Amino acid sequence: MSKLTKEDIIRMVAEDDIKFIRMQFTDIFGQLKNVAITASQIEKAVNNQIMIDGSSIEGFVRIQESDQYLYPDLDSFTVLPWRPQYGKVARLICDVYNPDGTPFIGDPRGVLKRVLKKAEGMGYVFNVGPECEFFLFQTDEEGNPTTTTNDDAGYFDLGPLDHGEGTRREICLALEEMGFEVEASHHEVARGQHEIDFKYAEALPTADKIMTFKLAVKTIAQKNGLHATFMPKPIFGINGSGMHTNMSLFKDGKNVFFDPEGEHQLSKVAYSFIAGILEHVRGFAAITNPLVNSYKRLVPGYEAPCYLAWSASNRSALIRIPASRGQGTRVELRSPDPSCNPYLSLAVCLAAGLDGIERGLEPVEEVNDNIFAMDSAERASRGIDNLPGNLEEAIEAMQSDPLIKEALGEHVYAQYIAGKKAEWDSYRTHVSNWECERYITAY
Amino acid sequence: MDTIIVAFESQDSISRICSMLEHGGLFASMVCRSGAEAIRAAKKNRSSIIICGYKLCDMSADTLAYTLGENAMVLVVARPAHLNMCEEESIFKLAMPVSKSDLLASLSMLSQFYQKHLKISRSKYDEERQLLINRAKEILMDKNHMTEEQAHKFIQKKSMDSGSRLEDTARLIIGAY
Repeated sequence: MSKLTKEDIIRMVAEDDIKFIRMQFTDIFGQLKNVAITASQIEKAVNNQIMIDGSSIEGFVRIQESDQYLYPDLDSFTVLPWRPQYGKVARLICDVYNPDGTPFIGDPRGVLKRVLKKAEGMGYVFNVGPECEFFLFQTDEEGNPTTTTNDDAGYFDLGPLDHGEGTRREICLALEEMGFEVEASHHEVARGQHEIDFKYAEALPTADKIMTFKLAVKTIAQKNGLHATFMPKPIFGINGSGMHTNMSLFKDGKNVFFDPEGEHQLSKVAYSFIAGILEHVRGFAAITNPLVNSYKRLVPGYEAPCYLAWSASNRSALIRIPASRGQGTRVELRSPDPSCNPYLSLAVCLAAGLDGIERGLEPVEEVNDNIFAMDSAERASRGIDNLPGNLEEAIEAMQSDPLIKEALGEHVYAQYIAGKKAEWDSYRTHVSNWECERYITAY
Repeated sequence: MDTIIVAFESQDSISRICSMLEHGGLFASMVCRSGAEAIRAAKKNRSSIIICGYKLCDMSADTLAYTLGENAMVLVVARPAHLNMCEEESIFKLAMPVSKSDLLASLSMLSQFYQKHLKISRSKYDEERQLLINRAKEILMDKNHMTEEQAHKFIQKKSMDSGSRLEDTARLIIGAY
């Protein structure tokens, strides 16, 4: 049930002297799109009458079927808090609909909603708490981003070493003005790297929040003369940026992952959820780690997971069980990175977990040793598989996993695979500086 | 004189302005060609004057002035037609072709205005800070039966122990009641 009505929105736009409203939605590759309307069109907007040309949006539709409509989620109405130059701006996050009033099957937000409906049918509410990392870099004299940072800080350091502290603080304040509950914000291990965590909530508003978070970070960084990037591995040799995703299922207000009698005080449902994730994580890697560059992060030595294992304590594992129990019991998947489309990422994670529950899967044995210290023979003997080594492998794994196609739906699945194949082909055929440096003299 | 930052798209314009400054005994602390660089430099230095064109490679002078707010004063040097495009109220304008004396006089005037503004802001901040501390002391004296000296030492010690400013501790005390 919506907390805000159409009349509330119309009144707020008038009372708060809002000049523009951004009708926001996300394409299948996770890029935020918007149509900006003036305040005079707000009534049209809340009555679902704002139209877009879907053929211009990557992965949406072809030109002969391109009229689509934006249906705003009224509860997503918020004023953007960064100082407006030409009048206050608010935003509404929208679902994309066909002209006949049916939800557009290519809308990523709709994909997540469908999987959430399945969970609801099983009695579950899916809660998620993301931990988003990003880099703040300087720009050059042309205003283009560099990978230079004027930052000498490291993990949990603060000013005066942490020159991004001011920007990070501004970001947190802006997020709080938009209704986020920021749980933590700190400098990360690598120079120029930061992390902001917000409180877990139901998956759909959390996915909305991740998109909003990225917008806020980029905007406020720019206002401070910096460039923020969610690129997973912008610099070789230092830690990359992940989006560790904490997940739990609730039923009737209680966390069903918690069982005080279970091993590690985890329930059978929790173990089946873990098993489902492990079963499908290779299949959905192209979603949670969507870029060519994503796989440069998933290498040993930089706190990113590479191997399919879970542990209640081991930070090198793909799935970690944080210490909190009771209502805070959760499963942390450490492979996703923040370049992903959060709607699709959460949809496939949930679909995988539910599959584990439906089939009563049991996970492999917990691994508490340092997996990075094992050689390939030992990993094989212990049944520890690894994540795809590159985007091509991830695409192949996705094509081999029918659950992922079912979760995404035919349209999104086909468009996504096509887009990613084109991306891989472009990378594969590109001649890089690495090759020139290595080969041009020697050969 | 405040920190002077020179920001123009073209290297020629940068060289011309810097040359005029040098002849007037002034020096640009930083030269740059993008608004982002100018913003970073201004935020590092408490009081800056930015001399720039009506637009830079990544933003207009309007956006630059707006983004910086009170962090810096912006003096736009451009042709009259371009100056008319600058609508931000806080911008100071100088029409090209600009003479050395006009440039130096404008900088001197801006610097004096800015120092006065900073002084007023500073004294307003000091006044507000003192009011907060006095209010917190009153609460401690009333609710916790402290003398004024005890209340002052209490706020001081709590600030030192927690690494906070006096006014932040005062806010906490006021908020608690």
